Amino acid sequence: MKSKHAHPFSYKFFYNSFLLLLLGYFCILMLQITMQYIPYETDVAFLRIKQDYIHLLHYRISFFVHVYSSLFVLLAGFSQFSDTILKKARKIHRIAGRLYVIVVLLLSAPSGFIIGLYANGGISSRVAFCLLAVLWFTYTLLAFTSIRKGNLKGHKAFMYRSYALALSAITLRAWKYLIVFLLHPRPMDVYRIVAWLGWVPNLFIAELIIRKRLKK
Amino acid sequence: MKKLLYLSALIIAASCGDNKEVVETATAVVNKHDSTEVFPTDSSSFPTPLQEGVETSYIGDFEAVDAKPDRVYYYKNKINITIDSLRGNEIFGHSVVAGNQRPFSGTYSLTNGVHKVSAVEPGDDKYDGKFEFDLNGNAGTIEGTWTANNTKLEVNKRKYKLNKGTFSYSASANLPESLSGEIVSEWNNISKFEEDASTAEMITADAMKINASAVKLKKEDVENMYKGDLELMRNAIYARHGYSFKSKKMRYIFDNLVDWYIPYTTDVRNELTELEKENIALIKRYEKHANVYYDSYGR
Repeated sequence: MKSKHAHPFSYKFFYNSFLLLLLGYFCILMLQITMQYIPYETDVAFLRIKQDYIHLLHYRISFFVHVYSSLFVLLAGFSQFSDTILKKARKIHRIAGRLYVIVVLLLSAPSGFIIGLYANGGISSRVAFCLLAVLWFTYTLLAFTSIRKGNLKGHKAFMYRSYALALSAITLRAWKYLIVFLLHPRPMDVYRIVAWLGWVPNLFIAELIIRKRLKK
Repeated sequence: MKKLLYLSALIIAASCGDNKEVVETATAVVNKHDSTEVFPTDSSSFPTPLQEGVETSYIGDFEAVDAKPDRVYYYKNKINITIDSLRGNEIFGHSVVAGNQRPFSGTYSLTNGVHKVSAVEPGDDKYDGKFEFDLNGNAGTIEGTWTANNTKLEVNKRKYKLNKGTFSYSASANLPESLSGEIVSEWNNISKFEEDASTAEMITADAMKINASAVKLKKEDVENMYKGDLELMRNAIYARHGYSFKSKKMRYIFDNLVDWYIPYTTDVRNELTELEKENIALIKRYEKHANVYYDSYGR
């Protein structure tokens, strides 16, 4: 974000505010989804149709680690892409950034990979979710190592990619809603489609942003 | 922004959806007919009943007289009238229709092989009334009318022409292929078809692909099925046991479109096989999931 500090009432100010509100709105929806699993319960919500796997300890651990940790990852969107915070409160950026990296690398991405192995919808959605987890882990790790080496451009590029994949939690469900609303397909067909549609376009948009903002 | 509000409303609706059990379960109707003089439960206290060869079940449409055309589905149910015994000029029997099993008793006169019957239901149920029919033992038919005691009912007079038919459970009775493409809705609010349209759903061939009374279902069999197909597949199990449906949607399907279906009882819980019970549990799981998550944000 090369532009100067967004001036109040400027187009950019409204645009950013809109995006943050939208993110806030979807985070609340995600919180509601997370709340279904509090208190700990193994025959509720999505788990109702995962009864074949819920007896597996590693599945159970991964599922709940993923559910309870992933919301915090989304919160990074509020602070980490702000030029203001980066310039005026670098400490916040660094602390929140480290938290993001730790949660993704140690909790959300590995657990996502393990539950991805048991995804509904057969081999295609399993590949989709596992690949998502691998790429997410890799981009996040690369973003971290590049800033350690002082490579600012690389750090930014990989963080755009990493967060674009984190947002798949939101976009996957939005696609599902939209596709069902418009086309009314069979439930598992929807799932197979959004397993890919949930994150591939996100990555594509991230590349566009990287090209526009970083290759100047 | 409107869309977002709509979305959030949906989420809230979905999160409350857990206790919204759309799924009809076979439930018992307790018949509180303790007026024993009219409706004997202990047949030994009576002289041996006459055997006239007419003590059997008669099945057919129970149709409203003066059906309003826009409410036609509501006005036709499949009825089972069973003659239990005859004694002197008295006749005893019961009917099963629309999720309701009711005894009746009355008198008859026999002319030229035709029993002219006039009988009443106990009178302690909202839907009790009076039967008048001709029972032709040779032809195996019943033809007549039923008049409700309560004249304020939506339908207070019905006619019927029934043929002999015996209920027997068959695990291999399949839903007819012709159900595919049929559009059904809950018909909860029968006077407002527009409101019904919101619950309308099309039956697809999936619903009759597997007979859930005969084949053990795997999750792969049901995970990609529409909610309405799952519901029909499960209710077909109850229908094979002769369950008389309270749900208007199921009545529309089974009473009108499934030839082998005979309403026989209002409680099938003790009749279900182990296989059926397991399949019902699995189907319900996916029905419930589809109901809460299919068209909402989240899963």
